[in-house]
Amino acid sequence: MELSKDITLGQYVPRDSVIHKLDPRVKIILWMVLVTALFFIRTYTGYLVFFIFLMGVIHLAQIPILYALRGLRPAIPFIVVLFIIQLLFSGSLYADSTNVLFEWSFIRITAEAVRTYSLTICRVILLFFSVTLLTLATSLVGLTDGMESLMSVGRPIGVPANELAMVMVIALRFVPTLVEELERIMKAQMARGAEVETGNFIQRTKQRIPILIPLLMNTFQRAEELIIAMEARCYRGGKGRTKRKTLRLGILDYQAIAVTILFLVVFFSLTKYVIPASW
Amino acid sequence: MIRVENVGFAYNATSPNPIRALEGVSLQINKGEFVAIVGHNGSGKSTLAKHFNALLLPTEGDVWIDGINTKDKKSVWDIRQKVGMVFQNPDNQLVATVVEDDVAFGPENLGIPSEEIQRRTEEAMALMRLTEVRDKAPHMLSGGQKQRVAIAGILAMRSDYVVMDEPTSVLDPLGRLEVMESIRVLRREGITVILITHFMHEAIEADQVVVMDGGRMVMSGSPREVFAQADKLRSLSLDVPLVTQVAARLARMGLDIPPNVLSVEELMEYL
Repeated sequence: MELSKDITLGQYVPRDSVIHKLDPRVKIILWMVLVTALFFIRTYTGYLVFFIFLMGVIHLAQIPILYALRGLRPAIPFIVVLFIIQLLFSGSLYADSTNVLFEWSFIRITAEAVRTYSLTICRVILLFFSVTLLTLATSLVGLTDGMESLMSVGRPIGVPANELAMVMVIALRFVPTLVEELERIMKAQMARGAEVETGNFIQRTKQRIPILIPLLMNTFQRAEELIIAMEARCYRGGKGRTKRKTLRLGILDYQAIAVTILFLVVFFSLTKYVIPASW
Repeated sequence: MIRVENVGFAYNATSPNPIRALEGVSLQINKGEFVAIVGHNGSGKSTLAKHFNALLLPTEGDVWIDGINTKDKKSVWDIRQKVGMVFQNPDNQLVATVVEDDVAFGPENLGIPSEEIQRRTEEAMALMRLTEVRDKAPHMLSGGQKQRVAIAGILAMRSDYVVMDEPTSVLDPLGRLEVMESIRVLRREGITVILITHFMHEAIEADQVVVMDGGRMVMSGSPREVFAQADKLRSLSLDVPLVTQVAARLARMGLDIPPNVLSVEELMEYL
């Protein structure tokens, strides 16, 4: 029951790479552009090329490719189940297809369906993969700073960018503290004879109560003290606040933007004019 | 200068059964002084502490910070910039995910330009010997280090006064020493320190000791004057520092020692 003290939040891998050094805003925007591009790909070859591009980025970020791929593992069962269900129950969508691969009772699997859903799966996998890539090479603090800066564009129309970022930072700050606290409460309750990990589902749920209630109470107490401490340090919301770190675009960022645009232009020209649509 | 004039305070003052926490407290704290406010639990010392930076406003009387009344709503942020506060539990006062960002939190709130924030952050971290742990997360630090981060955060705000509300009570002995050492650093920087504590020995180095009981100020004076009245302190369930106790007993046994010795070195001289 020992909970790890060095909790790594998200899956950030600290490295001293060009990808890590990019301005988080640039990373977030390029990531959004790439994800959008994903939805316009209609060929296996297209996804393969895209995949290779992402591998290249991971290589640049000095993250072992196998490690990055491992992030996909928890998603695989869902992807497989989704694929099977879609194949089994969507035969009617391709009712006029002559290319039937398998037919039994209401199940009707056509070649068109297989292609459509395989492509969808490719898209989902690449989507997952690109999220992993962003979070592997950008610290959560970096992501928060980036999001804050990007969202502050919406400040005139009332987007509370700074406040949202502050919420995020405080959440990140308190996760390890609360884990420590949880550990302490569990030990205290065990020392008083509480069973923590035995019995069936209902018994185990009941056992959680004497652990969760004190944790919840203490968390409220902490929140209250934190508010006072923040006010004592002159926090009054995002208004009039400045930042120690100011994000500035460097040569590296412009290069990254240029490379991505170049890749997308070449990529879509290829898929449009060179690669046959059926591949 | 901080002036507390005949301050009374009640929690839930407007309710039918308010809880009186302070009664007729008057006090003057000069710039550069080190004042210790001692008292046992429920004596009103923490309530008094929260009056110094307008976290609480007096129900009766006034608190003046450099001539500004804490009741003046427009000046509340000026007052909080002038009077920094360190709280008991270091875990519940650090805001950011890394030391450096936390030290910068105060100045960021003041709307200071980035380069200046960076400069102050560096300075404050150097004074509190935090430069090596600048990119560590708060939960990786010891209790003493966390309190030093909190103090650095105040230094970076350039506060003139630092109020510490039982900063050592949840720390281990080593952490306590670290905090006491930090107080010396603050004093060298010319910052007024107001230490709320129930450990008498932490008050030894103070210029002024204020003893609270039942919301009232019952004793005040130099540590020497206050510790000389050991019996009265004991009746308030407070102790005198161990050295003073030893000296007093030796005096009672007939040795020629004054009853208000404050350090081991001093006691040695008399012996």
